[in-house]
Amino acid sequence: MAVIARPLAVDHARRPRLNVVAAPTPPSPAMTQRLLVVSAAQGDPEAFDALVERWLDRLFAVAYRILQDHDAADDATQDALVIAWRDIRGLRDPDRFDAWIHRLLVRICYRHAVKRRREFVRLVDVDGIELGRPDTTNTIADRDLLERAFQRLTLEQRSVLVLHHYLGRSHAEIGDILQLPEGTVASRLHYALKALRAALAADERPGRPVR
Amino acid sequence: MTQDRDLTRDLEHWLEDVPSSAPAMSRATIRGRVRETRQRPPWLVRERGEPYVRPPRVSGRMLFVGFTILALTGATIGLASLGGQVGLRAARSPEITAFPVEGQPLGMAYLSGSVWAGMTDTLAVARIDPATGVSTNVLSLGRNCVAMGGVGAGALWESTCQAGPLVRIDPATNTPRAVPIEGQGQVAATIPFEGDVAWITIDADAGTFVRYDASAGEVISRGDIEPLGGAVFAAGFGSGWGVNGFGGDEPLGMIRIDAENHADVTRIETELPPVFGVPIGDALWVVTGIEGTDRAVLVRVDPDTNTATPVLEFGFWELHMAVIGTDLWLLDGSEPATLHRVDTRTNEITQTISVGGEANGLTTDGERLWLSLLGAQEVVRVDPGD
Repeated sequence: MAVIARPLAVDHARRPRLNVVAAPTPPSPAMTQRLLVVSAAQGDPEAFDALVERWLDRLFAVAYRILQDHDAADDATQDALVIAWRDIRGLRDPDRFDAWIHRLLVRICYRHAVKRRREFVRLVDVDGIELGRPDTTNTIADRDLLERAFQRLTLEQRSVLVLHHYLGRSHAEIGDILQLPEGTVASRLHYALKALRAALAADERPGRPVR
Repeated sequence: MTQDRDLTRDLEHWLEDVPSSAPAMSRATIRGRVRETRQRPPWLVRERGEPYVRPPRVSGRMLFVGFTILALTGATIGLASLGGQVGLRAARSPEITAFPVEGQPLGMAYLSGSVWAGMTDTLAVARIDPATGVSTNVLSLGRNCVAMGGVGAGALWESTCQAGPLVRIDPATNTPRAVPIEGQGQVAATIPFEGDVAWITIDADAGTFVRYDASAGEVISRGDIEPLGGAVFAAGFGSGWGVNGFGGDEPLGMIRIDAENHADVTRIETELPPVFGVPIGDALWVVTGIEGTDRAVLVRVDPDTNTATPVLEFGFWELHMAVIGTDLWLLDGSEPATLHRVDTRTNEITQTISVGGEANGLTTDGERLWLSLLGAQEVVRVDPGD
């Protein structure tokens, strides 16, 4: 239970001496982050270092899951944090740092994906594949199969899946991060799962080319 | 529904098991980069959908003019009227307006009074009214890519970047139609036109291209030149212009293929390989660069002598091109996205506009420029002003 530091409404002259050291109130994590964001926005690099310490692994985890590439995820995370430092003065509400930093990260991931897309595109044509009905009694034991199927999704599909099924964000929160209407997020999630299922079905069918 | 629960459960378990720690060196690297990075003023950091008008500025050249006038006439005219003159010259500053679109735009094109934007996520093409920025139609292609490959014969042409068919979009009916071409492999994203004839790289690996009469709807010739090592990236001066030198011992540069006799090939050496190209006046202007580097060189190719002359150098490998009159506009899409206006008569940069954000596609409606912003679900209209 948090100790609330406040002046005691007692008569100091008659107050008994207590061997208690009054501890300062520890700020809540949200308050700490707010202070760090405000300080960073005022140009304090040490405060931003503390934000990096808090967010680096979390952001890397998201980037890695979206990009499916360790080095690209590292680059994207670094770029996102450096851009965050550069642009943090434009963040009007410090309490929205969470959504803002994720938005930056996803944008950077898009950039990496666009570069790769130019070279070669692997995309599951959802409408072109007969999905069939996989055996519902079996779960997907083969993680490699899932990984390969996930890698065939578009970046946008991976992003919503990671934000929802890894970070546990609601449709509204994802909409805030990706700046999309809630309905679009729901639709994108639906089609992402559909595409994932299609990719799995395609992989399970030997000899069928998957573009 | 049972399947969905199984799939999402397995997906969540798999996502949970993926490594989650950034490399140990990342903290130090970020710390170093942060110390070297200046923070931007808030007005340069835009939120989605907000129109952004850059505050009027007096360029260095205008300042020079102003100070020269001050030196010459300060005693007789006075500071107040001089300020008026400088202000008047700077009055028409660039105007940058962002419009939200449904999806993540990538390629941009202009045709039949509309701006067209290809969406990488929805795999659709949005038709945008250039006056209002409102999408009046959205056509679903259901395929990649959406680079807006080319405009010719009154239609928009889109490759699939895969083994899928070429797609023709008719602006009169807003209907996409598949155009199968025999022998087609992976079609290059860029589909350059000269008149109504397109040069379509139908199999970049094999160096195979066709010339396709888009008005007649037929292949009129076919070529197979190795090592092409890429695509025909430009058309003009009775030739197709392709990338050369990624394959064997050929020198780096470009290749010129005669339209009538495909065996008539000229190799033109450049320091860097070509990325984009466009004919302006009596020359072909080509952006050369290598992906992932911080360097691009704009070269001017004289089709009479087949010589390439470096004109300007930039700090980012990929520069998209658009032409208004004799001005060549180059888009450096790396953040913050920047437009450079090059006067092709003098080879000089006459204007630079910082748009902000990261951009990719570029097109023009003849007066203004249109860009797609990465990760922002926005297209941006830039009126360059004076």
